Amino acid sequence: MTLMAIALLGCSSDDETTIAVHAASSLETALSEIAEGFTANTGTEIELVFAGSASLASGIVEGREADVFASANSTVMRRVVAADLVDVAPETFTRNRLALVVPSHDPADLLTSLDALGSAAVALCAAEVPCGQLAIEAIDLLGLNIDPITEESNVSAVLAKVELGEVDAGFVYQSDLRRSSVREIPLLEVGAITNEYQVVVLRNAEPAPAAQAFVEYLTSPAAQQVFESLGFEPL
Amino acid sequence: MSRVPRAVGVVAALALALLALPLLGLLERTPWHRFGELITSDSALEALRLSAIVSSLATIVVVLLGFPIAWLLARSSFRGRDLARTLVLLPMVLPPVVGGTALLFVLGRRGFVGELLDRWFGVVLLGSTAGAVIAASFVALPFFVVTVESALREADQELEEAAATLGASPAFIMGRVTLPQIRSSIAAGLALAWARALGEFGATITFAGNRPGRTRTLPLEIFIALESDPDAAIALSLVLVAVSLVVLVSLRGKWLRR
Repeated sequence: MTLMAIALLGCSSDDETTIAVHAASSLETALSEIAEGFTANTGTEIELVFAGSASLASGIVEGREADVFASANSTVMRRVVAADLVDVAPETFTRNRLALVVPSHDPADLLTSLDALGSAAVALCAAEVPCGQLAIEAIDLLGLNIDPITEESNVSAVLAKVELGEVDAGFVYQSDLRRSSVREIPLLEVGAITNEYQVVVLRNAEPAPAAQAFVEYLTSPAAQQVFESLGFEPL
Repeated sequence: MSRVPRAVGVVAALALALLALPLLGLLERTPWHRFGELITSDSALEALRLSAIVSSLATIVVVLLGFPIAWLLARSSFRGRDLARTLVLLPMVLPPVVGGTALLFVLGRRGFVGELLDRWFGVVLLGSTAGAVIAASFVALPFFVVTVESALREADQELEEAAATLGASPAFIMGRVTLPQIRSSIAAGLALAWARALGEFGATITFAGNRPGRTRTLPLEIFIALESDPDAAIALSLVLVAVSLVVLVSLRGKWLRR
């Protein structure tokens, strides 16, 4: 009985091609839209799994089945490459820019001056995940002295803390701004601090041509237009 | 033995496998040659120390708040008692992340209580150990209350009545007649609440955030370590398994020996 139930849970219909794409959570809005376009064009269904890049990489290295992996930076991607799970080199398909944001009512008055940032309640991603690595890079470049009151495991959690007004400021991606009420503080003096999203077809991808087609579609004009409209940096 | 149908045994074995295999998986993957180093790294020790502090403080909060409720629920009948009992039990079945979200909307900076805390006292619970203690207390409270309440119900009330006829006050009766009878249940409630607080994750990360040294307890440390250093996550998980087993063994006299 139990075995039968497990078998039923595990089965999927075979009459259409489906590929599993594991992607960084900051890609959620963009890839959901892009996957729809891809399915309309090719008939290939895309099963999207979003989570922090690092935990997705851990899952894939531990043997979780995925056909395509899209990471928010090259450091995390290297873990999958190092585990000997790919035959091709990962490709960069879009970029994002770090953004310092405050709640719409700006409780610490940071829009006027960044001086108070050192004593403000700031949220960032943990150093273990790409958005955290990017934030730490920015803090170093800006010479800021920040003691974050929380280190979240993904950028959406940081954004939520800012939106709710639980923190005075947070470091998120530029592409998060469109779907949010937060306000950005420009960090012009350090220029753009960007990350590169990389994608790769995993060796055990099934069917590999469909997975490869999706990876190629990410750099197509149609997909690039979606990225751009959501605030990603052009390639 | 012979009275149990074979199929029952088979399903029971499956159930045991479901529970045991993950533990075996953990043991199988444990990097024993680095085990000592992994559980004594700076961040691991910081999380261990914080976990001990937070779960112990939460247990104190749970006893102070939980004993009066248990007493009330066990010994008095009042309008809304069933409602009160349901409220007390709720955190046991509520997903901790829901509890954390609810706490955030009351005690967070924009919550109706949290806003006053911030304005009047400059107290912000996000990123503070106090926040982690509140989250742990929220999830651990029912375990203590349920255990103590049922013990109070089972305690010999004739002795109490005898004490009362001799002129003892209710507080004296509780302290000198009832409590000595339910000592082992109180210890069990303490151990369960402490263990639950130690393992608390969802409400903590949602309500108190993830701040090294302040709110990053062992479960949060494991969660973050999984992102970058799975070996450390496995080693620390094993520490929590060991602690849980110690708690269960210490409770053996109470529940497992029937």
